[in-house]
Amino acid sequence: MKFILLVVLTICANQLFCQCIISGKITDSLCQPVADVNVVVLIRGHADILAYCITDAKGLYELECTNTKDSLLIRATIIGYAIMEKGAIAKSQTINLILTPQVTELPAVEIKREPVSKLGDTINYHVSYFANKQDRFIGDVISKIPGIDIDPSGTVKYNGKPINTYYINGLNLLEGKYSIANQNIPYDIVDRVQVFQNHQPIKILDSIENSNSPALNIELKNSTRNKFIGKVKIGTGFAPLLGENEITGLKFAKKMQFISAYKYNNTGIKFAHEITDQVSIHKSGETADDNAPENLNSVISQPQPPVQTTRYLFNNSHLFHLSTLKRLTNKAQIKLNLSYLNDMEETNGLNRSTFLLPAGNSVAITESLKNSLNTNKAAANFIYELNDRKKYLKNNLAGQAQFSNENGLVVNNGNILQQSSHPFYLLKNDFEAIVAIKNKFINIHSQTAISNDSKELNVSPGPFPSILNDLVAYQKAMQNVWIRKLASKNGADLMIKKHDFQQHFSTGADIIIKKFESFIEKDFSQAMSKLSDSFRNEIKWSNLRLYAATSATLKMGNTRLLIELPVEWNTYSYKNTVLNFRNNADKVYFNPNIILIASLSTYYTLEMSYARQNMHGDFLQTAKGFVLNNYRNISQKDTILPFQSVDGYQFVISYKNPLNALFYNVSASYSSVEKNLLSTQTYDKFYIRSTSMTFRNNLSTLRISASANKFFLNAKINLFGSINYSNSRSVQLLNRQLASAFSEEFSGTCKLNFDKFSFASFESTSTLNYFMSTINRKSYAGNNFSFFQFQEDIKTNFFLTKNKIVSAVITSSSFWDNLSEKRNYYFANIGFRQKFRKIELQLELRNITNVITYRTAYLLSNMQQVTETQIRPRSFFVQCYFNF
Amino acid sequence: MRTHLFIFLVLLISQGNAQNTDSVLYMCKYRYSSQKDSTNKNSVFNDIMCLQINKLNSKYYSYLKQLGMRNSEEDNGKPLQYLLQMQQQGRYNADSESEIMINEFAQKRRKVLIKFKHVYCYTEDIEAQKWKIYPETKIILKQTCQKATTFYKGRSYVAWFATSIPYRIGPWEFSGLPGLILRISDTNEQFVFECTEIGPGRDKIYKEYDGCTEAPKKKVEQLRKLFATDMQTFDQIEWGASWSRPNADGTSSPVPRKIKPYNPIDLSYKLE
Repeated sequence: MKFILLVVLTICANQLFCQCIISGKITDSLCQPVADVNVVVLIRGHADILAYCITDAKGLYELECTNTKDSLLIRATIIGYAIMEKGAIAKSQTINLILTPQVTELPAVEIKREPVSKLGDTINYHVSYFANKQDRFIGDVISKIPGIDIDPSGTVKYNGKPINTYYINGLNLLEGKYSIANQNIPYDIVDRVQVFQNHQPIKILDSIENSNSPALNIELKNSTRNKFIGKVKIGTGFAPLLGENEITGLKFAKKMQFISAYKYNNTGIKFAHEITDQVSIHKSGETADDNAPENLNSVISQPQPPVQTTRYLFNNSHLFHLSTLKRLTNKAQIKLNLSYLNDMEETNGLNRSTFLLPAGNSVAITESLKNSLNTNKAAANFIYELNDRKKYLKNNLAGQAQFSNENGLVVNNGNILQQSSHPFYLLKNDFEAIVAIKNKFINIHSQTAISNDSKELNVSPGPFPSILNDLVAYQKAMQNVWIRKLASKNGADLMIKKHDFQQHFSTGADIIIKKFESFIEKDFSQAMSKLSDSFRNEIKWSNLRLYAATSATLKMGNTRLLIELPVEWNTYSYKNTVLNFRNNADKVYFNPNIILIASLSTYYTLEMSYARQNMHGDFLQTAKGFVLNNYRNISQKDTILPFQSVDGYQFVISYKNPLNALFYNVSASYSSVEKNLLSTQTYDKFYIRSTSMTFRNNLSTLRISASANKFFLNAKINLFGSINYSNSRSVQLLNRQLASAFSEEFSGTCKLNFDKFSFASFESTSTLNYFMSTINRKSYAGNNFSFFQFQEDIKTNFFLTKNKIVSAVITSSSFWDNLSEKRNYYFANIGFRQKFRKIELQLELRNITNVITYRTAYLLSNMQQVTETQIRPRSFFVQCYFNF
Repeated sequence: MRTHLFIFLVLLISQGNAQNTDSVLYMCKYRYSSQKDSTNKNSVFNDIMCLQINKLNSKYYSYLKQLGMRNSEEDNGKPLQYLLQMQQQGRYNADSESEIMINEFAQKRRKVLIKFKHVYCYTEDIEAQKWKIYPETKIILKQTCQKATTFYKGRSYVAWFATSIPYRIGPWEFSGLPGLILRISDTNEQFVFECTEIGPGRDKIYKEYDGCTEAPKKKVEQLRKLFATDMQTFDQIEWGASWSRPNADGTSSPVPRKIKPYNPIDLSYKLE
């Protein structure tokens, strides 16, 4: 009985858990056994594996699988052979397979990367994560990266600090003109954007001079290296006949980089920003305006309203630029940057300028303006740079030629025609060499610049008849001005570092020679005549500056203290040939500077600084002869040398957590400027006479700002908020009465970007500005100007399909002041983009609401200017993009 | 003549190919998170490990360590202060895994090199794990991956492998599944290897160690443990001296070293 039971149970068990064994041999087409083949058994039509094994050296395999009613699939895979599959039923059997040799195509590179990663001091931002379909250039993406902000002038800032270098694949092709990269490099050829948080661009100084300035590097995709990339944009529209055309060529190889573009538009796009040198790149102590053209006399023109230039600017602009870099065999680089801008701009509008006066009254001037400005600007830089860990050598030869002509028609009490022509030339050479001798570093630097700046201003009918023509009306006044400058700045530095202590000695000599000539001619009774010496200036001004400075940097744990103690001896020489007057002065300045930088924790940094700067003021303030600044302003300054001393205090606390994409900073600064000359204004109807007098006076400015940025990486929400407050107090002499002026300004900005959805993206920017200015606030309560401005920009994109985008740009702007009622403006553009295989087509309807004029206001000291600017009419535009 | 030329060219090409046996065929990068302290979930250390599959072998190493080595060589000769500063900033990835594993496919042997002060190495048999396959699948890096589990060296693991990539290996010592392992973690998620990049081999290993001292695996594991728990003894063994500071009375006392937690992936030595 027991035996029968055992037999029955065995049969049942076999029925329930029957195992089938599939075995066989795998050979290649030459009947040779193939070892190490993955053999798996699957249920036909399913992906999951029931059993697997590998073949032995003889190509044999054996698979055990549970019995099933489903039909099975035997699959053999190995690199170098085609996948072999054979159907089978679930029973023990032998299945031999023959493999055919074939190149195995493994899955292509698929990268799943964190959007933000940190490696040492470098933060990597992966462009594919931050980019969206509506973006075109890398600048569009960089502005969305957490912690990075691009301000309207194009300066890139990281947690509020301007970057000191902008690299492309580790090479500094564009120097300060990095807006060219932001506005020309397509985002889809860039793999990642890197931020070097504390970057020292001079490699030899890497170990000695700690930098706390950030730098940016855009790392291109491997597939685009060495390739020439050509891009074309053709656009046309109406009304009037509109055009936007661009052709761009790019190449980025290991030893050569190249960007060149020609662009044209008459749709209000301002090209000048693209070739502007970013101030932040300049060395400390040097400002961008050192060699900029002077603006002593000009045509009265309309200020730029705070909306996009494409809303109001009537222009006709051509831009060509070429930047190329070549790495030589000794790792040195030569760079050539060329640019040419031909820009014609027209603005039409209405100005009402009101000047507050100490007596409580005010002077108002209303003008209707119609201006046209034609600028031709050519610039070239040739740079040789050797920047390795043993030496640094850089020579930058730069040249600039600029011609601008401006015409303006003013309608107030009559028609006033203004014409100005302004040629400007600059030639500049900058040399710097650093060598290391043992543990000491020697820096030799020399800069020489020569410039010629002349300006001619014609005003008809002749202004200021009381001053210029004995109260008799005359036809035309012509102001001629020449300013020639020669500056040579030479010095040497010695840097020593011992453990945590770093010492820096520098010495040098700067010589600046400036020559200023001006005279006024008038056309009276059809005869041109030069005015007397009271309207003429011929000034030769020179400044020899010998300086010696020592600075010490002490590092104590995470705290760094920098103390700079420069002493300089200045000798000034001033000669007015017209007045036969000579004035010399010697001044010794001590300009200490103390900076404390403390890393409070991994994320918090505290910076405090104090600096005293004694310097000479603007030498043009020594012009005793009258200068016609514009048709309603004439100035006559003092002959004494202007001096000023500035005390500046700054406090910054910043938080930076790049991996969490959270940044914020709070800063406060206070500066007090003490001057020996006081500028004065006398108002007579719509004529203003500016003079200056010897009077010690003080200008103090307080600034407080805070900003915060949080990028919610998973939700792809980028939130940015900032507030700025500033006030300034000064003394002015208005209509022969001393007045204290007080002005304050507040602005708050909030930005929101939402890119999570595959079908839409959303961007909103809200800005609130408040300005207030008052004269003798205590005595004349209510005697002030103030106004508010609120602007909301909304950009939305709907991705209908992979290649179709509908976009809408809406701007609402409100303006209200204490003198007039609130004005609201609504601007809207709507567009459609369709991507074909190689061509992208974009249709756009601009200014749908057909706003005709836009009103806003500006405050400057005791002046409020309310302007109404003509807006570009509704237009339809078609653009076509393709690559070659 | 043409035939001769053809044969010559074929031979030349095959010579060229033969020399190129170490060319990287395929590469997989893993994000490797390891919990340094088994009692503290926040003590996670992240590294990027690279599995480089060559024709005859595979190499498994820390990508970050290699990057750190390259940076360290670049900075060679710079002042000590700078080097210390850079080390603090993480430029040399000093804490990344220094172990390099080389699997010789034909010999079914694995050579392991590890650097403390000296470079030690040992060889062992490749021991494929016994896997249990499950029907669950999930998509990793666009590849359909199937679930498998195993118990290995004291820990239970869940792996996800892709049959579309028919390499029978994975990170660390894992192997034996009929496809590349794209994710594997122990059931407590203390050790997680997650593939972030697969594709044709691009990044070659920057530098393998020049020469090594043969040592039994046990010694290497002991050194590893000492490095974490008893730096005084470790310094004595590796450097032949321990760090000490002079006292006022002329004697010296050892510099107290921070005791780090120790949670090795391989528990087999603990189990012994």
